[in-house]
Amino acid sequence: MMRAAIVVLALVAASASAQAQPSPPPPPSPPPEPEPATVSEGPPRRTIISIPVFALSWNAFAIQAEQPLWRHISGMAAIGIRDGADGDYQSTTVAVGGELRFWLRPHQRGWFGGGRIEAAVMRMSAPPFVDTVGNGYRTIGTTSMLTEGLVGGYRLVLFRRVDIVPTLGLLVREDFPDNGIPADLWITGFAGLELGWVFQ
Amino acid sequence: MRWIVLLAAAALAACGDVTVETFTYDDRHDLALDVHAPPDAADTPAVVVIHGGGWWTGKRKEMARFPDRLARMGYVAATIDYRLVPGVRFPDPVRDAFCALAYVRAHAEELGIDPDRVAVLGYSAGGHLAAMLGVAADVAELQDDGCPSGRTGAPRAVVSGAGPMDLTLLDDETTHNFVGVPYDKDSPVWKLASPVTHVGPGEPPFLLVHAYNDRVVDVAQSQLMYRALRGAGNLALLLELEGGGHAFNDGAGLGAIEYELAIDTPESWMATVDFLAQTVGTP
Repeated sequence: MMRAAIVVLALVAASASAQAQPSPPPPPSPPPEPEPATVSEGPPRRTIISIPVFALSWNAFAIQAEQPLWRHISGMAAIGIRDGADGDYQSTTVAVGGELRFWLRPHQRGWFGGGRIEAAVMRMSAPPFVDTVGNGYRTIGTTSMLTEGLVGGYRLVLFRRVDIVPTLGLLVREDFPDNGIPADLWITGFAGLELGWVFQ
Repeated sequence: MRWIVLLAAAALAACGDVTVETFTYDDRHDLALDVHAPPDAADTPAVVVIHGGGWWTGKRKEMARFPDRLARMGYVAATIDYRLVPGVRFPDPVRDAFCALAYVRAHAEELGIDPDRVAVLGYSAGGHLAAMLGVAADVAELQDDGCPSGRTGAPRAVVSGAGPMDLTLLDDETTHNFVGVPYDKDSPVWKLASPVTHVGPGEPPFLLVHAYNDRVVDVAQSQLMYRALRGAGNLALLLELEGGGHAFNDGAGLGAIEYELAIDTPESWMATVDFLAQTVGTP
């Protein structure tokens, strides 16, 4: 890539020199320093499949894929499922989400900031109230959740393949329960850790 | 940032109908409670909300989200202060909580509530106090004869989140400071301060909420209380949250850990509202 950049710069310099032929030749000057990243360089060609580590348990799983879109921008899509309640209750949450990441460097490692959006549905069941033993379950409600947030993080790639991304962020969440609980909105902080594999 | 402001404004607009009034429930110690009420409340079920903080920190306004949301559902909800360590020690915070409950009942007409349909809800140290209100109303020394509203009976229902239930199993500085006497598993004071000690038949229904990975108050505390209540023939429900902790819990499901009390998760709200509807009724 570096060599290509030097060739391009040399051709541009030669072309400029040819156009300037009628005038007296300029005094010789040192060739310009080649830029490591040229205008023609596109986004990195790779896909990263990762797992949010904090989602991993016997009752939860999530997976996400990230694809560079432009030189400083990548897009991430995620899907997850979680059985969040135990004891006398059962709940299942299904979530999908996406994130646009803005990278400080075009090779899309190191620091990034971005925006996140998630949508989730949680359905909850409980035993019949009077007899809480062995009489099956009843649905006590469903909550839809919409989350928007600002996220920042750092990408570390080990051995060119292993992807590690810790993240921190601020979320605005809205809950829309269907069982008489009023919708609610709150702002909270979050932390995440992604462990993935780089496919290129 | 604009969308955050717009969403926050929408949320505030949604809260517009709820009124908040502050009352002093014990002027001897300058203790107050904030009552969040829907418009035209009359004969309404009520919830007394008790904050946490290891009995040494915290204040009633930290729990304002709970009474606010409950009031938007039509409940009258009060969040209370109580005296904290090191200024006092056990049983004074318990006595204060009883005194606040007595005040709410004694002023039922003024507050627009049904005094027979009052539940208590607390988290962490507040979960401990809520449980004490549920099971120890008949222990004479845990209520203060000097309370302006007098003595009171047990609440109609208890929601306790991540509350210490057997203090003799918690050999830590926070609990030491609260109990105020040297740790001894056989100490009558440590047992007196433990809700599980007082469990017998005829206790009010309990909903116990606890996250599995709670490193501040182990989930075993709620499990112990659950077994004791059920063993004595009481109605108790246990909601255990997978993957969560004392103050950090799973988000919507995509792997982020959010700052959120276990009792403030969507799962806990769903269970709490169902539990309140079944015990103190719907507004």
